[in-house]
Amino acid sequence: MKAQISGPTLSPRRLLATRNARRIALQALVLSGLVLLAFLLLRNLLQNLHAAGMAVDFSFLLNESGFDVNESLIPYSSKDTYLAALTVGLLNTLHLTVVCVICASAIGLAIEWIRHSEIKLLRLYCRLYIDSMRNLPKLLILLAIYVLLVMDLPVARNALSFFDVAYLSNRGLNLPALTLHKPHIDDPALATSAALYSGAVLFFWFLLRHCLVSRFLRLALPVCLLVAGLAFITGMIRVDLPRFSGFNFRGGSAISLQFFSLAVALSLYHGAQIAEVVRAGFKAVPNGQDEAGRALGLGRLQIFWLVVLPQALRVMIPPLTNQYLNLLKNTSIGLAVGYSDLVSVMNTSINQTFRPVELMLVTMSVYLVVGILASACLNVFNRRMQLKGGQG
Amino acid sequence: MTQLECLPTRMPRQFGQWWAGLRQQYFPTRGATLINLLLGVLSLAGLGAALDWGIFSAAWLPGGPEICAAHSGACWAFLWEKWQVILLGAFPRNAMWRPLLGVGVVVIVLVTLARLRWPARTSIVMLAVAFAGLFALLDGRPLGLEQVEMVRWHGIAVVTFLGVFSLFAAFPVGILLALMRVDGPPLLSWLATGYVEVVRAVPLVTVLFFGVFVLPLLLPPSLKYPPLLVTLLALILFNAAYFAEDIRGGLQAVPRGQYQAAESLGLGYLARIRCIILPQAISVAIPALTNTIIGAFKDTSLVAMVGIFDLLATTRMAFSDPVWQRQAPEGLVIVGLLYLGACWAIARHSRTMERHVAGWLGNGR
Repeated sequence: MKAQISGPTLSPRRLLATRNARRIALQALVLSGLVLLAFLLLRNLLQNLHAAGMAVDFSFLLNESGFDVNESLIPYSSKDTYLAALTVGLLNTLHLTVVCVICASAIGLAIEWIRHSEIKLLRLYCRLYIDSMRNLPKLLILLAIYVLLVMDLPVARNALSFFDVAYLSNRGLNLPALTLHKPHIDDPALATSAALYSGAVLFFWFLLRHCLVSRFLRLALPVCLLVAGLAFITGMIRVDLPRFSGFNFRGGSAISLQFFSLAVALSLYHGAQIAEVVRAGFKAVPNGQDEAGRALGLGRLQIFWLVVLPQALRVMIPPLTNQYLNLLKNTSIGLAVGYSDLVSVMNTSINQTFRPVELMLVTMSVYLVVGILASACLNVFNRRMQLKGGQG
Repeated sequence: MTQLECLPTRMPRQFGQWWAGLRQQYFPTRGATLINLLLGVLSLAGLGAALDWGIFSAAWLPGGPEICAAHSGACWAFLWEKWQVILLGAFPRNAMWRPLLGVGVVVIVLVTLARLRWPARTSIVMLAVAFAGLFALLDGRPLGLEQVEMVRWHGIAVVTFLGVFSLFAAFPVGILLALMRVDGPPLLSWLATGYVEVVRAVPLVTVLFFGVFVLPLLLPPSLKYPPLLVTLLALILFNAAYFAEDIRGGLQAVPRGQYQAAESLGLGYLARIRCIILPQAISVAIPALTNTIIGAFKDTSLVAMVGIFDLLATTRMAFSDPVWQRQAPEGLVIVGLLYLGACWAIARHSRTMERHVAGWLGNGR
């Protein structure tokens, strides 16, 4: 009896008779295949690098980079390390992403608002805008904007002036900036006006108590007003206007043409996609909510801000998260117009050191980590916005 | 009731309805009327300016750059001069019929398959033939023609080669990844999830750089890897992750009962997936897949960043010629129209396919 069973057990047919056995066999097969593949790839990599007289080594990141970048948020020169250069690139990428997220969200909301207007032609324009953005490559949009700006903008001397506050020329956009100074509080006139202003803000705070705004805003709005106003009155923060003198603009903050065209192109491109997300969000809020708000005697803005938007946001946040992450990834087209983002700095570094493996690993993991962090934060926000158990 | 009233449509009545509809849409209130009229005048002015630029004040006839200075509008002489550069880049001029014929064959195959609603086996065979044909025509050696190096394949040849075939090759990989993730054993599911999430978290540009710089180092050193082929591989690996995510959504939308019904019929795993589950999953996923396909086709233009001359790069090449530098808008407008047309066709076809599958999806519920 025993011999009869042990005989056929050895045949593979019998071994793989059950579903479970087949699953385990398949996993083992795939795992061994992958290990073999990884081994082969690594062996090839080491052989190839060895043939070129190199090895995987990250210590070059601390060497002097020797190249300059167009724009940087932190002090950087060509004498700094590759690591510093990559940090500059990352900060530029994040800077562009934040600006684009704000602008694209504003465009998306504005488009949704226009779509509800009773003016048919405006709605047609929105349709046209969204369809053309959905069907054109972002690189084409970026190139078109950049080329047109470079071709048609005047030189710095004849820059387009916006009320003598901001200037647009073929060198970029010059905006007023806020600068920090030492406050002077010894002037009695200043002290009086500061006290008067504080009183006014206090009165505003009392007024706000009777308005239907969230508890957070009720506290945050007056505090912000107070701090900002006092800083301006005491001269701690001053507005620094750009002025043309000599051959270039002095003062203010300069935004390069590359950054400007990238911000415009990506905001337009993603604004259209965010508009679709926003539309789906507002569609998910039943009409009864609007009517209930009106029945309670709320104003249009209050209905939008307090009734409809919070409910729409619940539906919108997951796809919006996706859009924002896409935006972060799409800033990598900055290389096409020579904006020093992370990919562009990586490209320059690869060309200089020919260490693609290390640099690609660093860059991809940076994108991975930033993406995971951003989505984790937005997920926390999402969880806070969703209905809690008891309230539903 | 309303239908009966509407049926005898005579001219005056129709006009009345038309006018009422128009009034309701464009002139509902006094303020809206005013703004609509104002915007209408403005858009007519804009349209007029565009037409004036593109048609009435444009230089239509071939000629040198000096002809452009004489016209205030667009200078289509630029296209007469540079259409070969824009379409084919530096492909040898005496062999221009080859890429044009190859792209034509691919387009005809795609249109035929779209008409036939993508029958699986026919599609695989015809696309493989089309791919081989395009490759043979571009390369030349298989047909006994003069060889053209891969680095000289530019313009629409590259867009077709990468944009079309990376998508078709990525599709089965995406299906495999989605199946692994949804109902594979734990290890496979975990692997597929990791792959899809990592690829979706990094930008396409870095994946392309990875393809051009790192992939050749990972492959056996004895062979040479032209950038175009490596880019094709990178694009396939990239698009597969996005397809996997769309198809996963479709797979999860197939009711559990379908799996159980297929199993109770005694079908094996492959038959179950192939005949019962996948047709429904892919049908449900059509809108999501369309978005991915359009996005991926548009993003093929990013290969320009790793030094491959696609349509956008060749256009840039055409207007970076110092004498034609002012003609950048004309070139970009033409390329934009080509992309608009292609994406519009894909979107339209997806709506046709949605109607096509609506029948059996309705019965399945």
